[in-house]
Amino acid sequence: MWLVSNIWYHRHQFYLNIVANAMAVFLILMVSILSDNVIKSIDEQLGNLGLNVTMLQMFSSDDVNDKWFEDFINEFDIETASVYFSYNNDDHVVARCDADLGRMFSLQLRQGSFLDESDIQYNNNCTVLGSKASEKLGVSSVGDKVSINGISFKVKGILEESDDNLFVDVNESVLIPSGYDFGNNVVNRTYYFINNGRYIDGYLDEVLGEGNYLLINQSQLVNTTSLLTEMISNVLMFIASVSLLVSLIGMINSMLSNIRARTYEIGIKKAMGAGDNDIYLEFLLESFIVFTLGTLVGWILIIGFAGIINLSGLMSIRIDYYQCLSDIVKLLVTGGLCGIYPAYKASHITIMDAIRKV
Amino acid sequence: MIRLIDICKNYVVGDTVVKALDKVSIDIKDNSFTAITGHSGSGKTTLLNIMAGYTKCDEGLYLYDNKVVNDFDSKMMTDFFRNEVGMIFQEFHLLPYLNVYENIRLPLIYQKKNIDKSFLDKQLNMVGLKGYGNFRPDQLSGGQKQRVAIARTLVSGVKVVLADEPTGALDRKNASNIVKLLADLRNYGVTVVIVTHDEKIASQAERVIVLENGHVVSK
Repeated sequence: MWLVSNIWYHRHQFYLNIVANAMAVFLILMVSILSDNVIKSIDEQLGNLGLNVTMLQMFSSDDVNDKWFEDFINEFDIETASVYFSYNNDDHVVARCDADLGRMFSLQLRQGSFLDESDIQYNNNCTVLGSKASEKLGVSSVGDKVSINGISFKVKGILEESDDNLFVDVNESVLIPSGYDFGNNVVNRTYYFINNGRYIDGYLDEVLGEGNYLLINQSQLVNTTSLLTEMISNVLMFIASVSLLVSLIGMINSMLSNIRARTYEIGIKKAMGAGDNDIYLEFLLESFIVFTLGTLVGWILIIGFAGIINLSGLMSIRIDYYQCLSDIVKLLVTGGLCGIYPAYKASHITIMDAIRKV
Repeated sequence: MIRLIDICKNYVVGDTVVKALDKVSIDIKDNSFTAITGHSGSGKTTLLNIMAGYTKCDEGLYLYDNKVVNDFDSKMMTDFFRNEVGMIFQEFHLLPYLNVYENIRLPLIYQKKNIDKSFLDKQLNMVGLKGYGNFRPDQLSGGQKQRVAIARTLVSGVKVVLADEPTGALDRKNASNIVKLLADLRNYGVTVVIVTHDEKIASQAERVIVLENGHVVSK
């Protein structure tokens, strides 16, 4: 209890230490949580899309030669899903697609079912809506009718809201069988699902000619993004660690000044029977308590920060409390270690030092 | 109980060596009240600091209960401060963030003793401060602070109380009361040694030792 009285009496000397520690801890935890969330988000998108989804974009306006296309598919043992995107005045994307699209992009349904082979074969008037598209079109359940380019389509399924991925804005999409052609195509895309994982760039260079196409392997892109994100995260963590180091050095310096100012108090305590170990433990505990308070304030700030970001809708931040607890324990151990040298100096102050000070 | 034999203590100030004490030999009997007096710079405080164990002499022998204090290590010195010798300072040196009870209990914390409030009240009663337990030092007068300092010194059961100008910061009336209080400690089996430059206060002791330029001129 008297240790608490001691800290309270000297609180003016500890305020800045607590604030500096809190800011450093806040930075460390923020970088850790944000980078963790971003990396997990990329991993989730990766999981949603499948590792071997590749986008091939033709720069020529001519359709792909069917024979070449058949040879290509056989050569690489791939499955394909073709999508023809167009945009109408209602600002949602009409996508003419095959039945495989839902499986390839792991589209999850909230209601109903996806387009099947018979829908594609017979060009049935049915559609699957993305979550936001259904809201814009005023559709709430399967079986409702929507008008697309003057044609009435029956809603066969409504998709769950999903994170934007790199190729398809699923939430805004209105998916219809590929047989419909409204004549206002903007982008033709063919999605490949490669089963044997062979590198196909060389083949396409030979067949299509270098520069006539764009081939993007999604897993490569996401891996690159993940690597970049990790690198940025590591840089930010390094900066945050430097900030923490500066804070710790400042704390050590402040503690040493504090001890010099309390020389007489230490000397008197020794005159009252305090041993070197008693003084050492007292100051070590003091530094640990101050550092813990700073860590606690930093922790409260990060929870508040995450709450504000989540409420604002800018992004969804999930806090891995186990990871945070692990980070906090490491920080506390570091803070405790920083108190060792000042506590050592305090324990070696003699009674004569105190008397001379007075 | 306390024997100082040919004690020498020098201070080095730049190139100059100042002899604070030069072959000082004193015996202090148990349960006595001794005053050490002399002009400023005569070596009184240095002698007291050596007796308290706060500093070591450069030459000579310091015996306490026939034990050689010169040879005490750090742990033995800590035990010496806890159980044998207590010091009362001119400036009181109470801890400002502790109340009177907590200040008095401080030596017991380091002795790892648990003492209840009634014992502390008894100590306060002994020094005439009944009911002041929850006061903070800044709420006390000089005389009251010195009484708290005396209670703090006695609470751990020390056998010797050394007082370095305990009345220096007090008015005449309070000074007289404090000296009387110190003198009464003999009734509790405590040996008291007081350093003062005030001859009137020194005269209240059983024995007066006069120092001059680091030498004992009168015992």
